[in-house]
Amino acid sequence: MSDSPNLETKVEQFKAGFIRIRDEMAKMMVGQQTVVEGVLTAFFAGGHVLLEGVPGLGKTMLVRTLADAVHLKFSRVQFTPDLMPADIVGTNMIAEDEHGRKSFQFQPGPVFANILLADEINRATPKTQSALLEAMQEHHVTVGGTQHPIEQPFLVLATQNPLEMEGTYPLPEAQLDRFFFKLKVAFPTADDLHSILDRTTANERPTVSKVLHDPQEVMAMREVVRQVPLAREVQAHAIDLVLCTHPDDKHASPLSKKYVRYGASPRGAQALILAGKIYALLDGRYHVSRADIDKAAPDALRHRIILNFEGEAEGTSTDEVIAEILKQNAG
Amino acid sequence: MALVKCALLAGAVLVAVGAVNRWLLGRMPLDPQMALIAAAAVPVLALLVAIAQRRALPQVAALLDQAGGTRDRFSTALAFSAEATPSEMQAMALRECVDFALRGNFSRLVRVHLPREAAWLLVPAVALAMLQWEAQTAASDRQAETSAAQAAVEETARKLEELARQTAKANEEAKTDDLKKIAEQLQRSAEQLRAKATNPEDAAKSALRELSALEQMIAELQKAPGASPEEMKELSKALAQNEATKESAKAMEAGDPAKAAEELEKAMQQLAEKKDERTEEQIQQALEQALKRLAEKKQLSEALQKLAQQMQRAQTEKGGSSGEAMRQLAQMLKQMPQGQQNKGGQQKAQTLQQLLAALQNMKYGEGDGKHGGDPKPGDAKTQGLVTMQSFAPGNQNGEPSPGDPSMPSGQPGSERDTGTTDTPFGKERNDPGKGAQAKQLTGRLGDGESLSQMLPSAGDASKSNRRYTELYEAMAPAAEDAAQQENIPLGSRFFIKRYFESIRPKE
Repeated sequence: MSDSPNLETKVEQFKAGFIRIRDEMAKMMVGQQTVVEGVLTAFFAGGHVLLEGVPGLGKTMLVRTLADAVHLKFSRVQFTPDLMPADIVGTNMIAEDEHGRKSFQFQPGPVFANILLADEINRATPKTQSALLEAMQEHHVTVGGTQHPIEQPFLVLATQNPLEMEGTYPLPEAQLDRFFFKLKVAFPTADDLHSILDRTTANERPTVSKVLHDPQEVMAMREVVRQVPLAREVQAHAIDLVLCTHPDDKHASPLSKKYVRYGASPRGAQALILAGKIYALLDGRYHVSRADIDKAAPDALRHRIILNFEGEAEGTSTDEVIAEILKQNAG
Repeated sequence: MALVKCALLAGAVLVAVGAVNRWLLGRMPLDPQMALIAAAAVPVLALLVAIAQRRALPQVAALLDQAGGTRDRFSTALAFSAEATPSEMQAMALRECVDFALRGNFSRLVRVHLPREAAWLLVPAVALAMLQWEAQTAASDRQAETSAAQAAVEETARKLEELARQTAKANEEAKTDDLKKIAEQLQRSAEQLRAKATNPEDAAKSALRELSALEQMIAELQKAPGASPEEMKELSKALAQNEATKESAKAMEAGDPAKAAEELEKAMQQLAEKKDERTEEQIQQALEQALKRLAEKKQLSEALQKLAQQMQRAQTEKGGSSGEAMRQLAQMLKQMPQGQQNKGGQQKAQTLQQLLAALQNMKYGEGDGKHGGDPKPGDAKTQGLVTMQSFAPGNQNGEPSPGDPSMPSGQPGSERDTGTTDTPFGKERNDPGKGAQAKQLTGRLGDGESLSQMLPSAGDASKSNRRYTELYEAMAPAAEDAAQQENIPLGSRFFIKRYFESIRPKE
């Protein structure tokens, strides 16, 4: 109890840091506050984000801005059908030393960065997509029988275009589940477009200040997040939400029963809790409430619910299923 | 929902109890005292139920969080306070929750209020109120009916009480058990009449029944063995015509039938010794004439009827022994109870006669003008008279003439039976005043035999032990024959044919 002031300070620092990063990113990103906050939430929760939106909405700018604000190493991979796993994780190359002796030397791929932008991830083959699995979940890659750890913090920001589905390879459920959030990048409004044009077509362009200077600061903030406690009832609420996405569960909502093939995995519940903790801290509380869980539900569960054929044919979205579940579990 | 169901169930039970009270037992669903007790019991029961269904603390915390928008602070505080060694962040959260709870005013969220489901009790309450209102209306109606019925029988009851007083007064002189019994019965009848008078329609019937019962009782008491004083007087006159039976006549006039019988036997013995058959014949003739006179005046008493029959039988069987009449008379006199002809007996007989007349007056009305010039039913001389009229022109018996077209034909389907007038005979109503003869029949209501006849009706609902197809096959030819032979109106023939087709069993 003696270091409670320390913890309180850490909490305050977390909140202040989060808000500052968000504000810095807002300088570059116009009208995407929800997406920015979602990306930051996933970043401080230690998860990865799948961004879905049409091209030209500033997804790459978002990632770059984040990397600048937190002063982390950033790399970008444009996924194409001919992209190979080695192009991502790296490969062993023959190197010659000063004595003329040759040996294999690991040449790290773009995955070895703190923030990786996997642009149009659904255009790569499943083989290449799966190359990210180990990196995303285990935070290391194995090349030639040797594990190469990835420096923390590590955030994968993948994007996919929902319109051009021709010649794409939709992400398998296992890989989708690895993403902490799936955020939908909406088209900006007219006012937002004015602001975008004002900022991007003039000589003076906004600059992003570095809020954090050390990756350890990010890790410290992540540690604070995980310390936020929650009551059993609140945790039960998160579990209920996840269970309600399963069509075979007795508490399943009508839409779940009708249109859902598979429900959310336990990773969904983890995402709900972690995101809830961050929302609680941002709200100035030291505990998670049901409202925090509910707030995180759409972003955390929408890519973890797999619709059946009937649901897809009817044009039902997973967001509708989640909204009904939230309504069912309200109060 | 369970509470709603319980409330509805309780309400249904209340209404059922109220309905049973109202409809089966005829009482109010709730009397005021019971209603007060029930009203007082409701909060007590509610308190007990509330205590029994007391919510656990986590439930209360969840309710507070839900109602107060506290972001689960109460639930969290409760959970973290139960931790034996809370973490730093838990302790901070606990403090924050406590501060929040202290800052806010949450007492409004835990106000004591009636259960929401209590509103459902309104349904049975309204039903009970309606039952109560209906019962009160019915009770007031009953009260009014009772008052009307009491008023309807009050006059009769009052007269009965007056008769009871007069009878008791008469009994002070006569000193007989019968009059005392009648006086008591009259008083009792008056009381019963008042007590049973609840319906104005039944009140008159009840009064008539009571009067009839009293009348019957008095008539029974009048049927005492022996002759009436009038008859004794007439017989004594007959006996006084002859010297030999003068003593017996005196004894009869003195109201001493035993002595009269003794004197009569003495006279018979003397006449037998003298073999004076002529005197015996004279005495018999005098007696027969007396009986005849009495029979013309009124109906003979049972004793005299018996005497007349015995005299007639003795005359036909034994070839007209003149002494037989005296012997029979002596025998009758012996059988008469002593003292019947004394002053008390006469008083009793007179009182009974007056009572009977008074009861019949009450029963049939006392000349209220409705009868016009007809003899008053209340008149003692014409009591029990019923006027009947027969009005069948051309036939004194009132039977229809066979060829009379106004009479029913007795044949089904006859056009004569299709009535077009207001009489069943198809003709205008005959004027009974013209050519009718009034007959006056004497009789006493209640006497005589009644005729009852059992009329067979449709069969009961028991199952037939014969298959319908068999029954139809057996009965169809008979039905067709009947339809062809009977004089069925053309318009109805089609329907009858269709009916038989409709009841034909399906193949």
